[in-house]
Formats: sequence, structure tokens, C-alpha cells
Amino acid sequence: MLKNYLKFSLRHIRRNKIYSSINIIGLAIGIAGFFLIMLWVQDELSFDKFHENRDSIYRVVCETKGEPFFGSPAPLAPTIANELPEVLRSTRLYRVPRFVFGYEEKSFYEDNGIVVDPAFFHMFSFPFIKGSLETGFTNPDHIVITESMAQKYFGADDPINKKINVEGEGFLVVGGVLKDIPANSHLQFDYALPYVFLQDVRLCGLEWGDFNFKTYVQLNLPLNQEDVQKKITQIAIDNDCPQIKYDGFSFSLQSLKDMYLHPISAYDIQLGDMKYIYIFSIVALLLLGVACINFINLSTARAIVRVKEVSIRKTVGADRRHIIAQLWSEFFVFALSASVIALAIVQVAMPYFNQLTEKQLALHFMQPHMLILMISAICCCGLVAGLYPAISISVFQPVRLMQRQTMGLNSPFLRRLLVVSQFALSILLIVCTLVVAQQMRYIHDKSWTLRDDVVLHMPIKENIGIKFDVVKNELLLHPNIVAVSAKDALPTMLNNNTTGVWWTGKTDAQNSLHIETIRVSHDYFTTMGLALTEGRAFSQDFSDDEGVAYILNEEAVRQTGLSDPVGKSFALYRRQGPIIGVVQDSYFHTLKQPKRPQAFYLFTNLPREGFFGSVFIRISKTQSHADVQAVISHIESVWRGVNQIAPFEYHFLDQTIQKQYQDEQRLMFLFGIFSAVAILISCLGLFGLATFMAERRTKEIGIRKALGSTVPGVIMLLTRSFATWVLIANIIAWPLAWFIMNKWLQNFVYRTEMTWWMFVLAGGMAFVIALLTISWQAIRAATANPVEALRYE
Amino acid sequence: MIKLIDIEKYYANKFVKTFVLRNISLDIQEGEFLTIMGPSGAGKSTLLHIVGMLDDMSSGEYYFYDEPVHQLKEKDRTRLHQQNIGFVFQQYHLIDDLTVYENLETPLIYKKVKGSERKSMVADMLDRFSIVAKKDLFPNQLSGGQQQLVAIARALIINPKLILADEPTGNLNSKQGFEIMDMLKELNDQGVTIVQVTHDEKKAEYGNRIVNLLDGWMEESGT
Repeated sequence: MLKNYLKFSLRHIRRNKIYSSINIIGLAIGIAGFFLIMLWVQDELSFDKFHENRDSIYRVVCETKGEPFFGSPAPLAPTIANELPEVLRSTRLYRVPRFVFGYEEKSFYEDNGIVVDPAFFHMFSFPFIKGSLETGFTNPDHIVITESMAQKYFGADDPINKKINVEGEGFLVVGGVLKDIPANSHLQFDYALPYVFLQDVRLCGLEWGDFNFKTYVQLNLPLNQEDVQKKITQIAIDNDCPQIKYDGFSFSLQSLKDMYLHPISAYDIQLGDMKYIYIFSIVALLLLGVACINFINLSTARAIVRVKEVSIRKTVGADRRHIIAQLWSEFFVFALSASVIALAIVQVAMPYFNQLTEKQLALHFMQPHMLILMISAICCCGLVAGLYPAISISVFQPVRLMQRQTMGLNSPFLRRLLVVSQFALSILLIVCTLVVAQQMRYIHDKSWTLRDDVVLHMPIKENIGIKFDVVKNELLLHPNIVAVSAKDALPTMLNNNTTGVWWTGKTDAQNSLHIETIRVSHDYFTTMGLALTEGRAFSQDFSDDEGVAYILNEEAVRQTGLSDPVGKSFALYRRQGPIIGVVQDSYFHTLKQPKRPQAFYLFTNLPREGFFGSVFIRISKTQSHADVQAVISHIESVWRGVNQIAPFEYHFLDQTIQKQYQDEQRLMFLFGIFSAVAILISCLGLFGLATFMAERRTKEIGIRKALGSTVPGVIMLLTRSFATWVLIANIIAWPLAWFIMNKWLQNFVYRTEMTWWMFVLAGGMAFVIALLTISWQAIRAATANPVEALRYE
Repeated sequence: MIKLIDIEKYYANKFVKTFVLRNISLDIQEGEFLTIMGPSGAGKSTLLHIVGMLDDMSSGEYYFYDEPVHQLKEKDRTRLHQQNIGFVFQQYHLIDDLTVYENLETPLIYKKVKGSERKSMVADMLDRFSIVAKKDLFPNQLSGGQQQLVAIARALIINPKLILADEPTGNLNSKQGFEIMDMLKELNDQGVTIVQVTHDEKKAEYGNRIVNLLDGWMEESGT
């Protein structure tokens, strides 16, 4: 029986090529999109799952009056591990600033290093493949590196006990090699140094007041999280940690399982976001849904053609179950072939998809959950999509055939509903894509205030800080370099955010106001193209400026409530000085955050305070590409003039700023692509439906033409109903799209407005797409010879 | 074998009932060759479909070998019809997607006849109708007469007690038509009950009883 069903199904598919291929291709594209998105989702959800202790690891979060952050002081980790029985192990983690490492002739910038306690490797599953924790991670000069990093410096040689040169000033000894860090780890690093290193080389404050570390703890389960949090906070208070004791901060715990997808602030280290998991899961289901709708539509529409066969089968003894089983096996064959094609599409698309998502996804057929996912997708399509057509076709009374009724058995209402919902979805997706694109452009325009200019930046490395004046003067020798300055960090980064400020007239209510403090060198505002709205910029003419004169941005003036700020007193960490100017607000930080109040002051010791900083170089306008290249060559020669070890590098500021949105842009690009795919599938279905409708109405068209209808008249007839559907779809989709996108835009502090033209455009696009899709069929039907159409009736 | 009592069939729309059959009472004995005659729209085919259990009656009683068909569930009706009734239609109604062999095999599949048995039964039938050479052809590769031959073979393959023929020769030329009629007669002689619908007097004469239908009313005329 089953063999027969399959044989007839295959034959049926072969004999109805257009119908079958539309059906199968539409379904295949839908399933392929579904698989790709699901692979992405699965990868996102797999973050940090490989750690054996994943259930018992927590990160200490510092709760402030504003947004929480993930800093904690160095002594916290060992103290709580000693004093709290609930804490099994603890480690602190410090991100090492960019260093230049060298071995023999090779030297590289290393961005991605961490300082941790040895317990780190007991807590997290980052296994050693050479050397060991006991022998290679105890001395201040020990370093543990990953396989890839070992390969980069030492090739095939055994890296153990090799000496790596650091900035030409010292050496680190390789004590161990780690297996490469899995891509789905929120902790990413190329090398690790033991905490004792920091006691030797004080890169940052190590006291209770210095929140420079992340603290991870492994707790004894089961635990009372509230209780442990309170105890940790109490320990900090007992140890006179000023922020906790006086500022009212407290510590809380965040599970490792939440770290990647539930970031605590925009400045967190993670990349993932649960929101996008939801969005893309919905898109995946929509794709599958749209494909299934096609399937149902085409199958039920085709049902009329099947009336004869079904009726005959019934007259020779088939009952409903036979018919349902037969149709189902046919749909199952459809779904199966579609899945096979889908897997092929996934394989082919995978490299591009990986490029887009910057992931290393692969289809592992043998992974049980992938198998389950695939089988359930096939079953879902075959069964769910096949269920309605199978049942609706199977109910025919065979007598219908005998009476030669060609009446539409199935409810045209349902088909209309499905087509309308497909269109509503398409319109929804188009509106979403438009709004997203608009918002991205808005951010791009808004964040780049130096539109026509070019600003380059390079790190303050090796001797750049010490010889900054020389470097600056030499750079300015080039005619196209108009300004040079330095800042303590990239303007996209929040380097120092403090409540340790005072100004004339500060009230108690303003004690929790955080101000971002920024050290700059002279000419910073000129270089960055920021205008002063009041007062003056820092100037060499005023020797008192250094270290004690302050410039606030407009937001700081607004939030401090200072009126007429120039000349008023301001203090940072009790160092008092006059406010000499007010500068316009800048948009270097991510626009998902509100504007920050900022206070600028001059470096007093640039080599030390600017250790993590950058030099900014402004190039005059209207540069040709060759001119820019010449400037870069000049900058490089200046660099080489003072530096021996550090490799030259430079960046364009606009690219650095845009990088903040790259995840969002990448995801939105993906979203756009999948929207297009969904629309394409809808069109396939519409095309199939139009073909079928034209076929079905051959007789009607023949009669109309015989009665004198014109070709345009017939085309009108065929397209009118579709046009009505698209109109209804618009009415459904618009409010829905408005609601959804309004929600999404709430994520941005700076957001574009949704305007009516987006909706009209989306509706218009859907209409044009529908019209193009069906017009081919309509024209073909309209221009056919009416005699042909009538002959067989 | 068949007993119809006061069968009525009508289509009701909002306001009016349109009658197709009225007060039909009819006995059909085993071994009979009954002809239903009447002009177009008289309800001949509807009556045949009701007898063949393809259509429901609006009211009345229908006994098939004493089983009350009007009270049976669809499943039981299908079983009854599967085992006892073969159909022959004017338009042949073969399944276009299936070969001659597969068309013949289909009723046996639904009757759950085993594979090996099925093979021999189909082979017998092909032999009997001398269409062995055509077994792998599709219906559209055959002439009308050949298609009707296959359709009759298909009706016979389940070894039915009753054959219902709805204008079986309507689409054939006269020579083919009489060949098919001869074949039905021969089957009747072998004991198969036959009910045919026709409006051709000559074809009607093959039967041993004629029932006339006019606007849904029945009048019986001689044998």
C-alpha cells in the first residue's frame, strides 16, 4: 500500500512539473531559511554551555543608583573566597591593555589578554594542552597562551619556556598552552597572565576603592542568591570600600548562563542579545509559515483538478482514509524533497551566511538536536500543511464528478484569508526593513558630526607618549594635517565615569550624578571638530590650565544646573579649578545611550595618563584618495622615527564609531535578507495561484471574449481580486508594523520618526510585486483564443 | 437483492426544494438485467448513484441484501460497495496518472487483496479482455472502446454481484457500442446483476426489464 502511494506520488509530481516545482522550491527556500536561522539561534544559545561548572559560576555585578556595571575591586575575590563558606572558588579578571609582543623578528599588537587568578582555570573549562597550571602560572613573568597564538609566534617549535618580549621593556615566559577558546564563549582571550603580574607591574589600582576588575565566583549549590549577595556587600563595607560604604552601591550576582544574552549595560563585554534571539526565531517561524501557507494554497487550489481522480478512487472502493493517506504521502514526498533541497541550499549558503554573521556555523547532520529539528520541520510541513488539503479533498462525494460539477469544493474564503495574511506579512516585513534602514541611516548621520573631514587615530604606544610634542610637531609639518591632539581613550569608550565631582551650588540630590571625565591635550576640540559655545578652549597661553581648568559639555551644564558656568568653580577628586568653557555635545558614544555629561581637563603627565589613549589627527577637507595615502605615509614615517618595536597602525575615526553599530547593522542586514526571502516565497505562491486561477477561469474568459470583452478588460478582471486582497493586507499590516517598530525604536535614545511614506511605499511595493507576479498569467489568459477555451466544455 | 422504498431526492435551497427523484420504489432481483430509461434530467443517473451508494437519498429506505443502507455509516457502506458493486461510466473514468495495469489493480488494493493474489487476478483479467499488450499504457494512449474495455475489466475485477453502467456506450461508435453491450449481456448470463442507464432504445433491449423515469417519477413498462 505504502509503496503504491509513494509510486503514485512521485508520478504525480513528475506529471505536474510547474505546480510541483513551485510547491517544492517555495517550501525548500522556507525550510532552508528556517534551518539557517535556527543554526544561528542555536549557536547564540550555546554560549558558555561548555563549562562544566556552568551552573555554579556567577559574576559579581555592582549595582549603582544608575545603571549597574561589572566592576569590582581587586581584594574582593580572595576575601569573599576566604570568608564565605558559600564561595567555593573565586577569580578576578582584568583586561590587559594593548601590548606589543615580540619574539625574535616577529612582533604583533596583542589586544586580547587577561589577568586572572589560578582558580580561573579550575572554574572555567579552558584546558591546558601543554604545560600546567602548577608549573606555568605562578610567577609574575609567566604567561599562558592559546594554541593559535603559540602558532603565530613559534610555529612548530615547542613554546614552553620561550621568552616573549613585551614592548621592548621586559620578558614573559610561556608556561602553558591552552586549547583555543571556543567561539561560543563570552570570555575571549589570547593569553592570560597570573594576578601576581599586576602586583609587579601596576597597570591599575588594586585597592578596595578601585573598581578595575571583574569578579567571578563559583558557589556551592544550592544557594540562596539574595543571602550571598548581602554577605558580599557586607564584606565590602567591613573593608571600607568607599563606593559601597558611602555611595550606597551594592553587589549582586549574575549567573554565567545569563551573561551572554542578558547584558547588564551597553558597555558590557558581550555581543549577544536575547531580543534578537526572539526576533529571529519569529522570522524563522514566519518563513516556515509563509512556505506552508503556499503549500496549503496551491494544494487546495489544485484540489479541483483532483476531484476526478478522488471520485474514481472512491467509486472503485476507496474510503476517506485511503484518500487522506494517499494525499498525505504525496505531501510528505513534497516535504521530503523540499527538505533535501533545503539542506543543499543551506550547505551552499553556509559560507556566505557565516561571513554575514561572523560565526563558524556548520550543519552537523548527526547531532541529535539537529536531527530532531530537521525531522520535526519536515513532519511539521508535511503534516500540518498537508492536513487541510488532504481532508478537504477527501470529503468529495464521488457523485460530484458524475454530475460534472466543477464547483470549488474548498472554501475560497480560507484561501483568500491565507493569501491576505501572506501579503500582510510581506508588507509588515517591508515596513520593518524600511524603518530599520532609516534608523541606521539616522544613527550614521547623527553620530558622525565631522562629516566632510577625515580624522585618523593611532594608539599612544612605545615612545609616542614620551615624545608627544615632537610627534605632534612633525605631524603638523605635513601641509594637509591641520590639527593633532591626544585623548586618554577612544571617544567611543567610557574610560572614567565618576561621582567624585563638585561644582558651585551642587545639591545633595546631585550626589549620584555621574560625570564622564576626559583627559585631553591641547587642540582636542579643534581636532575633533567640536565647537565651544561659551568661554574658551584650553590654551598654551594660559599655563594655569594644566590639570585644574575644566571644560564641560552642554549636557553637563544642563544636568549640573549651572547657569552661566564660565568662571564658576568645578572640582574633580577635590582638585578645584575654574570652568573655562562649554563645548557642544558630541555623538561618539553609542546612540542607544542617552547623552552623557562630560568634563574635560588637560593631561598633566601624558605618557602615564595617556597610556591607553590615542593620538587624533585631523586632515584638511577635499582630499583625494592619493592625498590621504600620502598623509598616512607621512604619519607612518613619523611613527617609525620614534618607535622601534611597535608596528604602525592607524584607524579612521568614523569607522571606529560605526563599529559600535556593526552587530546591529549585521543583524539588520540579515533581517532584510530574510524578509526578501519571505516575500519571494509569497510571490512563488501567488504565481502558482494565479496560474491556477487563470487556468480555471479559461472558460469564463473564453465566454467573455466571445461576448466582446477586450484584452485589458480581461486583465482587469483577473487582477482586480488580487488588488483587493493586497488592500486588505495593508489595512492589517500597517498598525501591526507601527506597533512592532515603535517597540524596537524604544531601544534607541535617538530615534527616527516613522513616516507615512514608509507604509505607503511598503504597500505599494507589495502591490507592484503582486501585480507583476500575476500579470504574466493574466495577459497570457487574456490573449488566448476564446475558441480554444470553449472547445472542451 | 435490492429493495428501494419511497426514495426521494431533492436539493433544498433557501425557499424551494428541487425534486430529482420522487417516491421511487423498486425491487431488483439477483441475476436481472435492468434498464433505466428516460430523457435528460429525468433523474436516471441520480437513481443509479443512489443504488451504487455514491450519493445519499433525501428520504426513503434502501435495503441491499437486507442490510439497511440508509442507516449505515460511511465506513460500512464503503465496505458493502467495495465488495459487491462495479461501476462503468460513459466517460470511462480511468485514472489518467495510472497505467492500465495499475487502474485494474486499484480496487484490489482498497479491498486489501494480497500482492501475489493481486498480480494473478489482474493477469487473468488482462487475458480475458485480450489487453495484455496494453497493460503498461496510460488511458490517453488508448481508443475510447479500449478505455471502456479497461473500465469494465476494472469493474469486474472485484468479482461484483452488481454492475452499474451509466450510459456505457454513450461515447463509443456503434460497432464498439454493441460489442460492449454483448459483453454485458454475457456477464449477465454468467449471473451478474446489471443495471444500466441509457436513452437508446436498442441498447435498452439488451435488458430483461425497463424502468422509465420522467421528471423524477417512475413508471415501469413490460419486460
